[in-house]
Order: sequence, then C-alpha cells, then structure tokens
Amino acid sequence: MAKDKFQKINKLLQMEKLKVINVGLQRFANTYKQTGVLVIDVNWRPPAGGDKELRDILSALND
Amino acid sequence: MRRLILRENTYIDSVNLMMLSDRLIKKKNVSDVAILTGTPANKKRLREAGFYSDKFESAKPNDLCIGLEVDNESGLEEAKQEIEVFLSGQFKAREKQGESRQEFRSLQTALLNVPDANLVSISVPGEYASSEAHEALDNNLHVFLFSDNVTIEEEINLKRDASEKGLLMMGPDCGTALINGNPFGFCNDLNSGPVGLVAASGTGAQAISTQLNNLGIGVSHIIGTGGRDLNSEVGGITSKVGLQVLRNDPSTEIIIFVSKPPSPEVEDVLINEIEHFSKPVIISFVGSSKKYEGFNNIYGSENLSHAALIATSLMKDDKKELPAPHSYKEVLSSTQRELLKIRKSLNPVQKHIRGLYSGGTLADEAAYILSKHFTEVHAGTGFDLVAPINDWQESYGHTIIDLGDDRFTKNRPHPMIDSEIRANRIIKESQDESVAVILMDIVLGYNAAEDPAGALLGAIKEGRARAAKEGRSLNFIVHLCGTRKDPQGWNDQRKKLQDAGCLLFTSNVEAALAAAIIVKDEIG
Repeated sequence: MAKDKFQKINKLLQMEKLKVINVGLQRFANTYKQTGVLVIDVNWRPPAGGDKELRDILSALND
Repeated sequence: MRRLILRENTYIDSVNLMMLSDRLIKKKNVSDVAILTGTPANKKRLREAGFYSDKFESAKPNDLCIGLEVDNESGLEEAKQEIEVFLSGQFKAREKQGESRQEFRSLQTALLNVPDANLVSISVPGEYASSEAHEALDNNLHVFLFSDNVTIEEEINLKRDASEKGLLMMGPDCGTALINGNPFGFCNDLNSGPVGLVAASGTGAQAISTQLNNLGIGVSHIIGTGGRDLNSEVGGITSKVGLQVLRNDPSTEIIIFVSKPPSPEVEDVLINEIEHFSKPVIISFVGSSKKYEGFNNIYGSENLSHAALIATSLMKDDKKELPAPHSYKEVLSSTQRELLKIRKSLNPVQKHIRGLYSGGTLADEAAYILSKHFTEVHAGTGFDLVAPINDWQESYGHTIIDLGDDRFTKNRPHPMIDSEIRANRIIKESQDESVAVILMDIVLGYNAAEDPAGALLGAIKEGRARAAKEGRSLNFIVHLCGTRKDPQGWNDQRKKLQDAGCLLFTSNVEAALAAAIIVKDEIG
C-alpha cells in the first residue's frame, strides 16, 4: 500500500530521460539545456500583466 | 542628474536584472542605478530612493522602471545604449531558442503543448511561485521550487497537495537537487553511485556530495526539501517522502539526511520512521553532534565531512570502528608547516577570524566548530555557544557571516552567482588591524558563478597589499567545494587561489580548524 503511494516518485527516480519545463531564471534553462533535460523554457512574465485583482478574477474563472 | 526610463512590457528575470544594474553602475558617468519591475512595493522603494516621478505612476509589474544618476547627457546616452544592447541581447537569445519551436509565455500554455513533461523547475519571484507550483501539481508534474519568499501557509498547502497526489514537491527555497544524475539549482557534477541524500540544506548537500565524490563514492539522488521543511509547522512533509522513496529506491544503499537541527517533535517523528529502515541512515544536523546510540541503522555525524566519511566506510563494509571526524590534531599535523609559518607572520594584535561565506550551512558549521575553540564567536546561527552579530556591516572579534542572508541579497544576486558583496567585504575586513584570517567557502557547480575564484582575486590581492602596507599579513583560508568535473574547472580554480596565496582545504571543518590553529593563543 505504502509503495503505491510513491509510485510516481519512484518512477521519476528511475527515469533515464527527464523532461523538464523551466519557469523562471534563464540561467537554469541554460543548465537544463546543457545537461539534456530541457523540453521547454517558458518565456515567463507576471500573469495578467502583474495586475493582482485581474489575476484573482482569472484564477477564479479557471476553478 | 537623475533620469528615469520606463520600459513597458519588458520583463527580465532577477539575475539578469542584477547583471544589467551591474553593467550600468560600472560605466564612467553613471554614479547610481535603480532598476526594478513596476510592482507596488518596488515603486515605493523607488520613491524612497528618490528615483520616482509621474512617469512611473502607471508602471505595472511587467514593466521595467529604470532610475539613473548620471554626470551629464553623454553619460545618459551611453547608459541608454547599454540598456538597449542588453535588452536586445536578451530578446535575441529568446528568439534563437524559440526558433525551432513555439514560444510559450505561461506554464499553462506550455503544458498544452508538451504533454509528456515530468517535472517543472520554478524560479520566479516568490509571490507568483505558489500558483505556478499548483499549476504543475494539477497537471501531474513533480516540482523543483527554487523560489523563496513563499509564505509558510502556501508551503504547507503545496506540500500537502503534492503528498496527496503522490508527487514530489522540492521546496520552496530548495537550492539543490539531483534526480538520477540530473542536477537542479546549485548542484555539482557528481558521479552516480549508491548514496542518496535528503537535504533541507543546499550547501550542506553540496559539501557532502562533493566529499563523497572525491572519496570515490557516487550519489544516486539528492531529494531537496527546502529550508523550512523540518520546522514544526511544516512538519517534515517532504523529508518523510524523500526518506521513504530512497528507502525503496534500488539504486540507493545508504541514506544521508542533512539539515540544520530540526524542531524536536519533527526529529522524533522522523527518527521513529527511520529506525525501521534496513538501509543505514546517516544523520547530519549541522550544529549537533548527537550520536543516536541504541539504533542499529542510524549514525550521527559530527559535521558534514564526517557524514561523507561514515558513508564511505559503510560502503567498504569495513566492520572496523566508524571513522573519526577530521580533528584539530589531524589538521595541525598535516598542515603544520604552513600554519606555523602563518602564525609567525602575525603581529600581536592580529587575533581574529572573519568568515565570509556564500553557503549558509557552511557558515553555520564554521561558527559551530569555532565556538568550541573560542569563547566569543559571532554569527547569525543562534547555536547555544555562538554570540549574535550586533552589526552586520561592521565585524567585531571573531565573526562568521553568511553573505547569502537576506540582509545582503535584497537587491543583489546571491554570492553563489555574484562576488561583488564578498569582494567589498574582503577589502573592508582587511582594514581592521585585528584580523589575522579571512575564512571562505568557494562553491563550484552548475548555476554557480563562472569563475568564482577569479572574481575574488582582485580583492584578495588588494586586501593583502593594504594589510602589508601597515605591516600585517592577511591570510586567506578557503574551503574549495566542488568536483573535478564541475564546469568551472577544479584545477583552474585551485591554482588561481593557491597562486594568490590562499591555503586550501576540501572540507569546511578542516578550513575552520586551520583558522582556529592560526589564531589560538596556545596551539597545544
């Protein structure tokens, strides 16, 4: 039972080829590229133009 | 003269922002720079710093507010040009990357197009980190969460959510991780092998894993938990997960658990779980030398390097007694000639050690070790035998400083990436006639500075020259933390430091003990 709980994590630890999405520092994306795990470097910026109120509304709509 | 520039819809990450700041302030006719994104908090800071006008009123977090203090118009033009070159370089880099595939501006859209990803690495500003992490978890992805300034409530929510979904939440404030040989955050190039780490301390994990590597023992995984995981509110959620998965992981034979001392209730719960493991577990709580006697499979270590030594010995299945940690006597005998030479070169007022660290845990460990040899050691740690720092800008007596502390990194990149704060502090300490030794860590590995040793050479040389002018020797003791395969080039880094007259050690404890030997009244 306990082992099932960690199945997904156990699988991750065995994975030959990780597929990583980078959200944030470009520096990290460069490293992930170098080590061969990067699939996407998100060109991240604050959501809703950084407008917190708008963000909260959008997030409520998504729920 | 002050000039303000608003660049709308121009977002650059915090590291790049600091780099741009740095380039501008180094320009001849620029005497002050403030570059911040247009968040309400940042606008307030700009106002307080005198870099504000109506121009920035409408600025949003996606916009860049640039404040410059320049000598003249041509200074302003040069600065503007520098800004354009830098920003277009950024855009070109992104364009190039986007060449072969579409550009995604949010994790949400990226996920629609990359359905087979398995992990998201998040290093956005803290206030946005939690929602990005939830997005990842909702899409069945594990998370490496480097961002700090995430609230404790958000941390607990994320970890509980991850736990329910059977996913890994490494962080927030997780500096280091390694999954099946793949490094995350500040991590070294390590050989694969049978020792797995659960780490609530990034530089703690780096110190132990590099030591193991250099002793010929590889690492299977480093499960990072984030710095707050073992406090009583979070309750060790990720640590528990990490320990259980390494227990079940076929490639891990020995587990090392590294952290600053946990809250007692959390420690009890974890020990109660660990004692049922059949795999050996080595405990490395920095600032504690607890032995864990009476447990068949639990080994207490006295310091980070000791944890690596114990693991190495267990791997060799020696059946002899467990190895002792590096000791005062041992360091004295192996480095006697150099240490005695330095002692002789000191003048009578030179009695103090100044520790200037980039790794918080390494600073804590140095303070702990030195507090056993000196009655008053000042540091930020809060260990029983350590005195507090009264003035973080002005050292007094023996002082060990973590330059990665928020006090120093508010508007500057971390000292693991940028050496300016440490370089300036070296010069400052060199002017104090009571200083005999400057004790430092230099940490190599992925995502760290390209040439950390090289970046400090100027300050080391200048510091020594200033001291020499006043008839003093200024001595540098360095813990070089890295592996032969690290991107900075171990030999190159070692050579640069040795040529500049630094005394090098491959463990923090040896470096700290060497510093103690140099300044003690009696070396006994």
